[in-house]
Parts: sequence; C-alpha cells; structure tokens
Amino acid sequence: MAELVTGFVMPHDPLMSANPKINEQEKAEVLFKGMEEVHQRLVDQKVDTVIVIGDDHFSMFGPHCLPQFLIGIGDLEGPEEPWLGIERYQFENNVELATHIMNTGFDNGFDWAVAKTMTLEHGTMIPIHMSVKPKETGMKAIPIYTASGVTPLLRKKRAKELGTMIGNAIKSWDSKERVAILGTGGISHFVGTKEMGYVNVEFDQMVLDYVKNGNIQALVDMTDEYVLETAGNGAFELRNWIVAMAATQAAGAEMICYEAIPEWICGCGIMELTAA
Amino acid sequence: MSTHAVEKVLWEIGHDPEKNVPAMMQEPDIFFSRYNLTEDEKKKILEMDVKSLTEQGASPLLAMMVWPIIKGPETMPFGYLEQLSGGEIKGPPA
Repeated sequence: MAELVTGFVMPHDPLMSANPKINEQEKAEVLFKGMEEVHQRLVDQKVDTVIVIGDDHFSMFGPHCLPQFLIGIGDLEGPEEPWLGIERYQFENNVELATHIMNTGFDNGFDWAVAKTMTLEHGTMIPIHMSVKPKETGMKAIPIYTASGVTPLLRKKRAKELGTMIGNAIKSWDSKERVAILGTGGISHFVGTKEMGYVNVEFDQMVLDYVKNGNIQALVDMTDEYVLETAGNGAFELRNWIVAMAATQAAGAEMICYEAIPEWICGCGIMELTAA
Repeated sequence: MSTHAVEKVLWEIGHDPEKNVPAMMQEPDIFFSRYNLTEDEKKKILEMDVKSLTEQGASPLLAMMVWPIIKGPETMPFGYLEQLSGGEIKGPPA
C-alpha cells in the first residue's frame, strides 16, 4: 500500500517570488530557508508524490464557477500569474493516484469538481515551485483546491472530513509510492481590505501552538467571524492546514520557522506534521 | 447592490483588461449594458470606489485585482489603501 510519509503546513505567499527583496531581508531569508528545508525533507524521505492543498484567488475560477473542492487529475502547468516572476512550465501529475483519490471521494460522498488539465495559480504553485521543485527532482504533484480564499467558503468541518478521506485513499492505493501532503496558505493576513499589511502575531502563535499540539479541533471550531476580524480574510486558508492535518492524522508538529512580514502582508509559518 | 453582477464585471476586467478597460472607459453605456447593474454601481466601478463596493459585498480580492489596472500599478498599495481608509495600515477592530 502507498504510504503518507509526511506532511507540512506552510505559506503560499505570492510576494515571496514577486517581491523577494524587502527592507526586512533577514526575515525573508528565514522563510526562503524554511521553504528549502521542506524541499530537503521531501528529498530525504524519498517522497515520490506531493499532494498540495491550496486555494484560488479569482485567478483560475470566477463568479461563474466556484468549486468547494477540486482535484487536478491530468496535465499540469503553472503559474497562471505572470507577475509572480516565474516562467510558466509543465510538470508531472500522478494521474493514477489522483484518479484513485477522486474515485475514493466519489464512492464516499465527496462530489469533487474535477480538472483534467490545469494552469495552477500561486495557491499551489508557490509551494510546488519553491519546495517540491518537480523539474529538479522528478517528484509528481497532485493539486487540490479548496474554497478557502473566495466565498462561499468550504465548511471547516468538511475540510477535516475531506482530509481524512484523502488520507484513507492514499492508504488504500495499491502501490509502494511514498506520498507527502502540503497544507498551504495563512496565517494571518488581510487581503485587499483596509487592514492590509497588519499581521496578528498573537493569533499566529496561537495557531502554531494548536498545530504543534495536534489540536485540529481548535482550528475547526474557530468561527469565520472571529478569524476575519482577528486575522483577516487570508486566514480562512487555515482550511488547507486542516485538510493536511486530518490526512496525516497529525498528533503534533515540529516548528521549522515563523516570521511576521508586513511587506509580504502575511504571518508566514512552516511546520512538519508528525504522525500519531 | 447586485453584488454578483459587480463581481462579474470586476472579474472580466481583471481577466481581459486589454479588451474591457478601453471598452468601459470609452463607451460605458454600451459596456455596462451587458451587466445587471444600477446606475450607482456603474458609477462606483468607473470611479473605482473600492470602499463602497467592498462595503456592499464585492470581494476585496477582486477590488485589489482591478484597482491597479484602472488606477495604475504605481498606486498600489497606498493609493488603494487611501481610497479604502485614508492610507493607514490598521490593526483589526478592537
């Protein structure tokens, strides 16, 4: 059976690539080092395929179609946004595993939206480009998008259920593949609102403590009203962390790095999830 | 406010600015005839009154996407924030 060998929670801040030189460069370097550390740990653990949980920011989807959760099962390229400063390139999906996860969902009450081809935007492309590095390593990627950036939002309870299903699907895949999962986005950030640039360090540390202690339910139980007021609309993306934590059945996590970076309008944290 | 229609206009401007910005600026009556908008909404979009648009339900992601297309990238972030709130970086409400 395939094995879910590790998981990470981490940012997908587009300004890491679009605006890599900032006044507080020492903070940026901590994050760049953290993204590289994720890459090295994926390599060290001989990961074959990385499932990347992200969310769209009106780059791929629009008011005409807003999926609650979507899986990409075919050809992949990215990024969608030219302003990221990354030249668009193609890389390999794990079509068989993605199709298996899709079908496991269909058989268990998860009616995925499905993309047979995708041009990925930064919600998955930043971690793929900076930490998976498929062109260098040959690692395959499976993109999964949740409604965490644009309303109507995926219910957090459902995000937990989705993660559990994904974890079970991996375990039931008849293969010796080694799989990792990345829950991306967050932590506190205000996107396009008048508080943009403010980072709530206290909120971020609370979230990191929850992850460190494997307290997924505390993340599920936070109301969207509280999150919006305290940590901004960008913190809705903690749904992606919930998916990764549920998939790995994480009992805790090891801190890799955290920095509050107002110039990147974001509190950025990276942790490796530890299995029960 | 026809929030969904406002978001549709903003999204279409953001995804095809070369076509839609000149069309909106040069012949707004013809451009807006494709959308179910009030006269007030058309005015707010033309003026990029992102404060009113977002307060009335339009996505701040779309407002932020379209602002630099209409107002120029050099106006980000401070011109945008100034329109929203006076240009200060603010904390969350007490």
